[in-house]
Amino acid sequence: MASPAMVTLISSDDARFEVTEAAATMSQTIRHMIEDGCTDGGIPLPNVPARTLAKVLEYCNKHAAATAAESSAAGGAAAGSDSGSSSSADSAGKDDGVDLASFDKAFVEVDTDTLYDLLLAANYLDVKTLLDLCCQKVADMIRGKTPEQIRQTFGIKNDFSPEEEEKIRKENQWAFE
Amino acid sequence: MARDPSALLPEDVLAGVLRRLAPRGLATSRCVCKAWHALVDAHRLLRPELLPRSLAGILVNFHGLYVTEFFSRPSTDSYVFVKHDEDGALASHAGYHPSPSAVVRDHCNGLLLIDADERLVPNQGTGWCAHLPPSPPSRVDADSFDVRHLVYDPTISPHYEVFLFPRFRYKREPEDFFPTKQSEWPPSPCVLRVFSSKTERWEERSFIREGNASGTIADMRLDWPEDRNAVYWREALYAHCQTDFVMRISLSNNKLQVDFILESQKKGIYFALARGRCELKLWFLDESCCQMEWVLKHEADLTGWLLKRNIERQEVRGPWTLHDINYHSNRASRRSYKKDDDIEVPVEEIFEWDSEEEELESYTKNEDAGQRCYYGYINILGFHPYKEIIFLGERMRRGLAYHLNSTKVQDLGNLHPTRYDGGLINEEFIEQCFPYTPSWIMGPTREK
Repeated sequence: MASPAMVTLISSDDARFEVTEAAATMSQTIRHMIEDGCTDGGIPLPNVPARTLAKVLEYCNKHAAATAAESSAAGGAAAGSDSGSSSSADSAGKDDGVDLASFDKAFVEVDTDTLYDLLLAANYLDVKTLLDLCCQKVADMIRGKTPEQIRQTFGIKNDFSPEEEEKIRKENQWAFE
Repeated sequence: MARDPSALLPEDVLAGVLRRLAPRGLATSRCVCKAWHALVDAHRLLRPELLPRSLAGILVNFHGLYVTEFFSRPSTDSYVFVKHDEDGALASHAGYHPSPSAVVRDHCNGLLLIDADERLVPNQGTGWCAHLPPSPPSRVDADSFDVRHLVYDPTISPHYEVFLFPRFRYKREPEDFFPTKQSEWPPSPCVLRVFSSKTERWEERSFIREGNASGTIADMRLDWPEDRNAVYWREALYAHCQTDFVMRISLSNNKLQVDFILESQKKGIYFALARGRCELKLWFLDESCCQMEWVLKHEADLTGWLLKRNIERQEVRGPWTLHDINYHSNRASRRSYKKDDDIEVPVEEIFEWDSEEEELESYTKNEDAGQRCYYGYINILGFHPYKEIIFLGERMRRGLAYHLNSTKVQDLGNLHPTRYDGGLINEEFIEQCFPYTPSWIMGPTREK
């Protein structure tokens, strides 16, 4: 098997990361840069610090590998004439799905600062599944809380006067009963 | 301390986060700070006008009639509202749109469970609907059948669930051949079959009973199995069961509680019973201190009012009417539904009250009622979901609205289905009623 194509990514603080093209192109931003042929001497990512980029690449490597395993399993099943081997490939694919879901869940079990950094990076790098994952995580942190609990969780200052807050609350009184 | 996301995250990213919240979460987020308030409004993330907020009328299943009837103000069902917004076409109408041979089996916050050729869970408001897959067989080893109850709150989640409850067929003599007759009911754990729109499949869910059982299966058989409602309120399903006990099923901790005697109202759970000919008793479920306790809240005898109004001879008039779908659907001149482009969702309360209210006077049996007797009866149609009003039916003739706080009664209008003309009185009764609160929220979408 030929060794996969590699690209070099350069973080805002000049750290260099060598990754497979399959993992790097999970980012639409990087994919466009590669398509435009701006890969000589590495791809600079001036908005993403090394710490965050390492984390994003951990996600991309895992998902790119899972996608590759899935497609090779599917290819093997299609090519193989032995029904026994195809069913074992199927169950391996299912395990990967469960594995990936638990990886995702653990991946966003981070402090809010890291979560924001991931959100910003996923948004800039345009990694849709990672952006969805992080948005969902923040939404889950908001769900079921009172306004004051949300402020405490995210360190938000209440800039409403008590009268203003009361008025806004009254507009949707049904939600507070 | 964590950093403020509205200061750190680009607006579209934060909007992407808030967009994932259900309406209740969005209403809360609007109160957090000015930036979030502006964001929710600018992106039109919260659309309270789409939520079930008003009573459109009452769905009524008359015994022996094929289609669920609708009792409401005449204007509310003949209009089809079609609204277009940025998310695509959203077709909806305020009323109940009958389809041939459709019987509504349950209603929860605008979602209807319909018995047709296949079971559907349509949301009349949006025209969205889903088919339920066939349910797995019951494990209750006895002569029983299932009733289905819907659990749906679009302010919290777009997903719904359908619960199956066993009902035991009536047996005059309890000592029959079923070996399970002395099994206690509900058992612990109580295994119920539940369909979840999240997983799109049926599953068995166990509920641990707290406290004693209500009785045995043999006891249940001595009571008629039909005509009982369930109500979903604050993450709990309250199912009115045989022998008039209520099963409280907590969906947050999978616990089950049994207590005697239901209907949900904004402020809590009520249970009402019509006794004798026209006595009304109303209990409120007090859940303030861990224990559930039914508190007698209201007692009334409507005989005096009915007699004073000479109600049996008086012409039925009022702002509401029965749409008489069973009569019209079998005639060539079937009502056609108007269509109109881009009519706004009605946000105002459809329910208005005119001055046709009369105060209920206290009445004692010995009081001279002008040598007259009242030969009719009243039955309960349901509770107004947002007001302290109970809807009553008087002899399948007229609907009444009884205001609990002021003890005023209002004549709502004609409740009599034309198909009951000249029929047998003992074959004429109401099986089920559902106060209908339309919703314009789209159905659940498959999670990514």
